[in-house]
Parts: sequence; structure tokens; C-alpha cells
Amino acid sequence: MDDVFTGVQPEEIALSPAQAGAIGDRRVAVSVEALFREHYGRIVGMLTRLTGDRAHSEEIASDVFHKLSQRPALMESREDLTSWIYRVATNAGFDALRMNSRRRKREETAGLEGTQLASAPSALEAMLAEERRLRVRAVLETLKPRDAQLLLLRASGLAYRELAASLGLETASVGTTLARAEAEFERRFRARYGENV
Amino acid sequence: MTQCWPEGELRAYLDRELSTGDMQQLAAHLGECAACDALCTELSERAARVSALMELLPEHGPLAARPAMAAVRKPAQQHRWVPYAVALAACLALAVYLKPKPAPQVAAVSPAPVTVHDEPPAPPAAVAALGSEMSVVPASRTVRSVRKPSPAEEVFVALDDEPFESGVIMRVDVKPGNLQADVVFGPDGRARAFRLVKANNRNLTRY
Repeated sequence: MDDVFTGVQPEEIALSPAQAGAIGDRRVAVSVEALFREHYGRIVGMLTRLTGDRAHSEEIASDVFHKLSQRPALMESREDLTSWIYRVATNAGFDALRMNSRRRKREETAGLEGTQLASAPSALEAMLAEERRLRVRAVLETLKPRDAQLLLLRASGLAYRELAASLGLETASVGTTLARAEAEFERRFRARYGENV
Repeated sequence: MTQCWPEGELRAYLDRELSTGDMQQLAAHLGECAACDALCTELSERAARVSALMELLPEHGPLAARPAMAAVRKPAQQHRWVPYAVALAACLALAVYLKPKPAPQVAAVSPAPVTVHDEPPAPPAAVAALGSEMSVVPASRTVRSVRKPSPAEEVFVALDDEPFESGVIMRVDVKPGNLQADVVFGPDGRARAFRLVKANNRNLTRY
């Protein structure tokens, strides 16, 4: 099975409708599988950073690839397809982040109660670290999804070429977009939480 | 002095994402242009700050959302479901105990003292009046000893490493074979442990 998937070249994934019809659903399924193998881990990592919930992130990523398997027309454009996968996953991650905002507020309240109870430094440090994570996610939530996605994927170590593919950008414009996204993130972070970034 | 470079190129230079020739040209320009050098330093410091904040977000988080706050939560808030689970388990156990059982029954409690008579008890007077050809045999009372489970049967085998405090035990048939198993379901409905029990003519063997 591995041989089949590793043998799929990127060119093979971009099928014309006639080819797709002739070869049938099997090739489409293989292409989805190849994309899944290439991007699933990165998407889960990006969403886990964003939502803080790995299990939910895996569900979101799986849903994205399920949607992809249900829309064979998307398979015709590999470049658009990659950015589509990341865009849908990022938007779903933001939806999850917004849905959990009420839960986060409850946790923050519980955390304040815990501060009064906790005497161990480790508990306090853990609480402060969680507070900082919540702040970072809150600021990411206010950014344009593309900027947030760029910052998260860059933190995962993707090269500019990979970032360009996942965002649907030219490789040459990644540096500009990244610099602006970082500046905007820092500006909003400082506006909310002060100068101590 | 060579021409200044745009901000995006400076940012790509910091990530070593330019071609080798561009890297060399830009480095040479930074040596002679204080403005670009200052901008590059600013971009570098900002990138480091933002990157440090992004690194706070774990890429490989826990499988379930477990905020760190849970560690310092009050115990009363942490186990609100325990009384409900215990009540449910008690109700189920009571329902199983009170369910009518086919004869012969297994004595699950210590039997009442049985008086041994030398002669069978005399039939009731009304029955004796029917005639000598009709004999009444008192119903035999079958008292089976309660089988003590073997040590292997007493031990539940955990299905995972996650500890749990309460649950409901359900007995199920294991096919094929004359086996049954006790399965412990946790409060979340997941099977948490089991043990095999030998079926006794498809009647429940109580311990």
C-alpha cells in the first residue's frame, strides 16, 4: 500500500475531468490519501496550536479531508487544493476557538479561584503559562485568518515554498506577508495586554 | 551605495529564504545602509518575540482538552458526577437482585437453619382426608453451596491505564463457548475492565 501512495507524483493528482472519469474514483481516492499523508500532520499541529485541543484538531482535520473526498472537482487543481485544505481547516479552527470562548472564560474564573488555593509554585507557573497561551490565541483570533495561519505554520517550521502553497501565495511575497502579519500581531497584542509582549 | 531592499526581502533574508546571490548582496547592503540595517534588526527582534509567543502554543497537545486549571480545581467541583454514578450503580444492582429468578434458585445469602426431622412431616389434615392412595411428598429444597470464585475470576483486567472511581458492572455472553464476562463500564459509558466468568447452565453465578 505504501508503494502505491509514495508512487503518486504531484502531476498525477491534477486530473482533467476526462481523465478522472476514465480512471474512476480509485485515482481520486488515492490522491486524497496522498494529500492526507502530506498535510494531515501539519494541519493537526497548526490547529492544536490554535485551539489547544489535539483531539478536536484531529476531528477538524479529518472532516476537511472527508469534505475533500466528497468533492472530486477540487482535485483538478493541486495548488488551489492545498490552499483550500488549509483555509478550510483554519476557518474551522477559528470557529472552534470562538465556540470555546465561553468555556475559556469559565476556566479563567476557575483559574482565579485556583490562584487563591494554590500554594505550589508549579501550579502558579502552569496557570500563568496557560494565561499567556489564552492571550496569544485571543489575539490570533482577531487577525485575518490568513495572517494567523501564516504565523502558526511558520512556527511549525514550514519553508516559504510550503507556506506559499498552503496560503495560495507567490513564494516571493511570503516575506512581505509574514513581516506584516508579525507587526499586526504584535500591535494588537500590545494594544490588549500592554507593552510586555 | 546599492539600492535599498524592501521589507519582505529583509524578512526573507532573516529566514535565509533568499537565493545565495541575493543573500550576499543584501548582506553587503546592510553593511553600508544604516536604515536598512536598523529595519532588519527591528524585524529580527519582532520575529523573535512573535515566535516565542507562538512557541507557547503546543503543537502536540494532549488528546483531550485538559486546561492546567483543572489541577487546582476544588475536589467538590471535580467529582460532581460521582454521587449520580453511585446511585445509578446501586439502582441497577437492586434491580438485578429483585428480578424474579427461575427455580432452582441459588442461595445468595446464608440459608435459614434447617431442622432435620427423623420422619417426614405429616401432611395437612385436609390433604390427609382425600384418602390414603394420594401421597404428598414435601417439596425438596435444593440448597447449593455458593461457589467461591477462583482468584483468577476475582481479578478484573483493566482495558486502559486511566484510573476510574466508579462504574457499572454488566454481565455479557461471550460467543462462542460457554463463557460469560463481567464488564465494568465507567461513568462515560466506556468499557474500562472485564473478567471472564464460567457460565453455569446459562444461569447467573453470583459471588
